[in-house]
Amino acid sequence: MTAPLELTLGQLGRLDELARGGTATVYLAPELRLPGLGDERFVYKKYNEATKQSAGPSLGTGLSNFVRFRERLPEEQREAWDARIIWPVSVVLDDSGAADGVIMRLIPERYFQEFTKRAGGVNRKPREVETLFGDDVTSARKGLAWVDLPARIRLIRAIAAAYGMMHKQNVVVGDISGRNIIYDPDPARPSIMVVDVDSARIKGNRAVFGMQPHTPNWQPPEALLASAALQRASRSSPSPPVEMLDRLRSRWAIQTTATDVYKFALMTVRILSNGRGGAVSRDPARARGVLKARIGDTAADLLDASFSDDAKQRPTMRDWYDALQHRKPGSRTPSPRVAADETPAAQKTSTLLANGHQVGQWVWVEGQGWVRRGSRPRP
Amino acid sequence: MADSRQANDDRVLALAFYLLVDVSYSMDGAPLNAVNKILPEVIDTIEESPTLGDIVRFGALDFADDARTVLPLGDLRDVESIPNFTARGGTSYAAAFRQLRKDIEHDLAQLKSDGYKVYRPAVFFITDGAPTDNMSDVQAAFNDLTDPGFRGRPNIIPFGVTASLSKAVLDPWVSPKPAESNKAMRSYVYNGDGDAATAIKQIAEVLISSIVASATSVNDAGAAGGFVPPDDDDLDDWI
Repeated sequence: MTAPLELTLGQLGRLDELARGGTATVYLAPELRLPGLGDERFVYKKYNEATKQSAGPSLGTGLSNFVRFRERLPEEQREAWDARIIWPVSVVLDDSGAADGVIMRLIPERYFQEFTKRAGGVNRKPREVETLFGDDVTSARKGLAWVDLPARIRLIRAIAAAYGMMHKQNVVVGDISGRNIIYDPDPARPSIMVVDVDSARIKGNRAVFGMQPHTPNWQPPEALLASAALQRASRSSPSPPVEMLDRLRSRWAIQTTATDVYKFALMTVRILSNGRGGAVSRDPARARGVLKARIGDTAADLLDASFSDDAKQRPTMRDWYDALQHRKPGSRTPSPRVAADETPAAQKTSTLLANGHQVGQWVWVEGQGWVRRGSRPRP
Repeated sequence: MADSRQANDDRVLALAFYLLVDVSYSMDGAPLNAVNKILPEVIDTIEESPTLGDIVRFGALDFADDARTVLPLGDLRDVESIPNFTARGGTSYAAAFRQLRKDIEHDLAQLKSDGYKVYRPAVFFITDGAPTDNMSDVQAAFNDLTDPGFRGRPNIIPFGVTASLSKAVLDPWVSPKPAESNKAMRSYVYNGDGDAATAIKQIAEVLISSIVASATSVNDAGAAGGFVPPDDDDLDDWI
């Protein structure tokens, strides 16, 4: 049994608003249960009118293709897919039968973070990967657990695995930014999930919502070049031919597996050289050094190649995943399993933290590092 | 082909926001208490997102008979002690506009010298009353602030937090106006069932939404687009 391809609004039961964004409103559907998806809980992402209009009449077909894509995966691959990607499982139709939004699995609890507020209390929301880009002082003030370099590398490897899997299935991720990966820093099992896949595109098809621009500060060089040329052209007099402007417009928004690789490398840089300015940095120097020291020359070279102005020169996500599986002889990073006596977080901070020290949802356990409060201690 | 720096400009676009608050005596009590909750909320939003932290620069000014810089434009993650707005004196829009011009001129020059690209800043202007100063004085200060020759002339969005305030009082201080730009701003006067404090709480929400939307906005050429004004759909109770 699989979830129905389409559901009507009436079948969703009670809806509780969770969040409103620029393109959609997300509701929890606490009563909804779907065959083939066990005890999962679901959210309904209802696109707003402007979003639906920009997608045009093909929205329903596009969303259905998206849902079918996941269903067509062999069971084993679908399980791997679901473990890493929050993908739409059903299309929701409004009273007129038009597509109104999608049903997705609720993000698992361990990806939520309680952010400490200045005036007291907390904001609870998914822990987005961009929180790894910031400075340690602000992160600690917000209640985020300190994530050391080995754990950061393991998270990067998990992202490479997810993107690699998507590319293998001919899916272009598209709009990659610090907001559409969430992570769990638990040193026992650092993991990530890809969320907000609206801009993903099955190769050979258009994206459901048409041409999607790159997020500012994540544009690959070819998009920056096209943007600059377009800005110059639109200022020039007489105006250039419309065909030329159209050509440039289509160039700045092209999303391919090569633009994915560029953005993955940018994400790697921002995760490995966090600090003030780290969320918008394009300087690979520090990350290159970390990769060279902990993984080896291959990973450092991949970083350089990923930033090539020539998209054809960039490596594949598979190259990245393979490289990140290895570690330099003598390096403690990244081991597939972490033994209790070499817990990554038990390095830099161990001299600074007392056993039982609490930050947000985390407690420092000597010899283990950060452990989620309430979880069973590891042997 | 242009040189690579010109063709491939990846300098970071900094987004400058100012909160300009009327602290005349009529704002004392619940309205200013509500205003004093805005900065902690904005700081929380910035601190939860390193991306916002790296690109948003925020400043606050108050005005009564005179105007003061309450929080110099900067990175909100550096704010250890959050300043409070306290009531004093009358309502001099002229003083407010003059101080704003001075601050913006200084702040934008600083951002540029720090290597940022910067567009026109946005000003969220909160008031509960008409100016008490000479109108020609106010007009002159406003003209100076929004002079087309001033590259940092801001986008100004006035919010009237009491229904008794006429839109005609606020509209002259909107910038740019529809005749001046295809990205015109507008004024808002609260017309809901709540009090001024309720209105101010809603301003905090749209201010934060505007900051978040501005950080990901893209212009027609696919480059960072800068300021996104509040969405009218989020301001149902306002006219």
